[in-house]
Amino acid sequence: MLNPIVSNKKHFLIYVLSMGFILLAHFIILYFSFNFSLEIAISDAAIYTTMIFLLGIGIWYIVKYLAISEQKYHLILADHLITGGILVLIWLFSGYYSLSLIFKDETRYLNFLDDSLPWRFVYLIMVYALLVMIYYLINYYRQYHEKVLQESELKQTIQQSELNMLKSQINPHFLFNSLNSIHSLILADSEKASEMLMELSEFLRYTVRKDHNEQVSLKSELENIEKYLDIEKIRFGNRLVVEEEIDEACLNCKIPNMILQPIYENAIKHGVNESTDTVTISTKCSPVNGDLKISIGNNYSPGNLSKRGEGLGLENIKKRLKLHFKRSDLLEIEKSSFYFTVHIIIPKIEPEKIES
Amino acid sequence: MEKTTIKALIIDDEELARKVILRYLEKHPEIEIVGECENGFAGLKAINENKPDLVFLDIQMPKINGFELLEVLEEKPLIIFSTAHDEFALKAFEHSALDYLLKPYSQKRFTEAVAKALSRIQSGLSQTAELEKLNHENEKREDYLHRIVVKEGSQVHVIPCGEIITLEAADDYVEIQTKSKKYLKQKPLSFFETRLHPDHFIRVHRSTIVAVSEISRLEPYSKDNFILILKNGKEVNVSKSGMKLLRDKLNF
Repeated sequence: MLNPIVSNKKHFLIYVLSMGFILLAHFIILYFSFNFSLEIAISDAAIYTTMIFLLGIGIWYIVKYLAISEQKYHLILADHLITGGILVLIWLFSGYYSLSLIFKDETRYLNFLDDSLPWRFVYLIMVYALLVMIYYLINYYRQYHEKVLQESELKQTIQQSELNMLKSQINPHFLFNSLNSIHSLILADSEKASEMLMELSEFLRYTVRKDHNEQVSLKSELENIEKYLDIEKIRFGNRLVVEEEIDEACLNCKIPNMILQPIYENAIKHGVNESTDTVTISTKCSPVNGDLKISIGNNYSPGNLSKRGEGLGLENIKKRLKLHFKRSDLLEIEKSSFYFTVHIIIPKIEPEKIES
Repeated sequence: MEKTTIKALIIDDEELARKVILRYLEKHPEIEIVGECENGFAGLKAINENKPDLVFLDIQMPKINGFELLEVLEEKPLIIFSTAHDEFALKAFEHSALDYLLKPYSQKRFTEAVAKALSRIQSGLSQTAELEKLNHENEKREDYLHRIVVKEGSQVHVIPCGEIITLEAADDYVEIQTKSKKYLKQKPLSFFETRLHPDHFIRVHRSTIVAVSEISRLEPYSKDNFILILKNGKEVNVSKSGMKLLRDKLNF
């Protein structure tokens, strides 16, 4: 880890300011309380504070080396006593000798310097302890911050993989039945077969693409669903009718990709598959209070009333919407004895958010 | 005449799927197609009317599916299943010697299946044992029943599970009481206990299963015994273990 003082301009400024404050306090005491000359007061304060300033930066490396979590407390304490002791003695005596050399004719000051040695010792020990404490706190905070960051990253990864799982997967029943229809068309009407094969390929490509972009426009989702329904229309012939009522203004809205697909699969599974009558699947998209409202409905055979549970597919959509928008009230089911509708609300996305 | 023609019926809800079979059968002049049906009900009717020797049967269909159709058939013709992809169905097939075609399939594969069926018909063997086995395997499916198919004389009824009030054991049969009628089905009650959704149906007694939504209230009968009063006024005995199930499921 980098030295928190040198590596950050703001931290360095704070460090310089607090050292300046110490220097000022040191000077004031010598100049006003002990009435030494300006020259002496400045020199004494400057030399001692400069040494604290320089060596103080170095204490970081001692703290880093003696990280609390990695060693036993009494060992760390012993190490600090030794390094701290040596450091303080270097501070104390290099200051003492340089000052007594500079002011070798000032007897009152030299006497004062001798007398003040124990106090200076205590003062420097305190500065050392304070710096060590601050460094440990910084260290602790950084580790904590990193841990939080890691945890949130982990959470995000889990959410992402959960989302991938919830995204609809290709239904094998649909796939093989479509292939069978294509096979049938090859035998009877090769042009129509090629048409259906293209549609199936495009649908599959859209479904299997590994797109990191979770959000897609409503337009591209609807286009894909149109392909899906076109394929099913070939399979089921006149048993399936598709109706659409889309407000143009909605087409550029972003929605989580493939989120509507399971609803159509359900409509096919419970509606068309189980009914001998024509089933109409209708889609409505419109802006409601600034949100996007999507309603997908289909009629179904009344005999299948009890069959119509809120299946896994809808449960998954609910979960996905919750993961995306942090709301659990975005999906609503309306059910009568012959008609089934799913309403989905995609909350308004702020214009600024789109840009960023 | 050396060969008698073989009568075949195609039951599949998708027209394009039926067309493949029709096309393939062009190479089998010995087989005469007596009908095409697009759902299980129509298929059942056609089987009873035309008495085909061979049936090409899809599984997933409206009204009643392929398995349900087999369940209510008395005289079973030879069956070749033609299906897309159904994990449960495949598992069931693997446990019986029946032939099944996975969509899409080739003419070659189709011919093999037909040849197998023809040799069976000529040797006079029936498929009954295998179909029984298939039925049995199919009962182990993990999904819950949505409807029950019951045959009554020549009529076939499809009972949605939401219509059921109680199921009661009566000898080899189960008496199914719905909101409008009573039906008999030849199955043990334990079958329904495992295949009906446990959130909606509770076996309150050795001989009775009740629909949770039909329960009106519970009344003490003697010191340890309770009776359930259903919404239609009917009273049902509750056994000790039934009481425990009720407590667990309904949280009281």
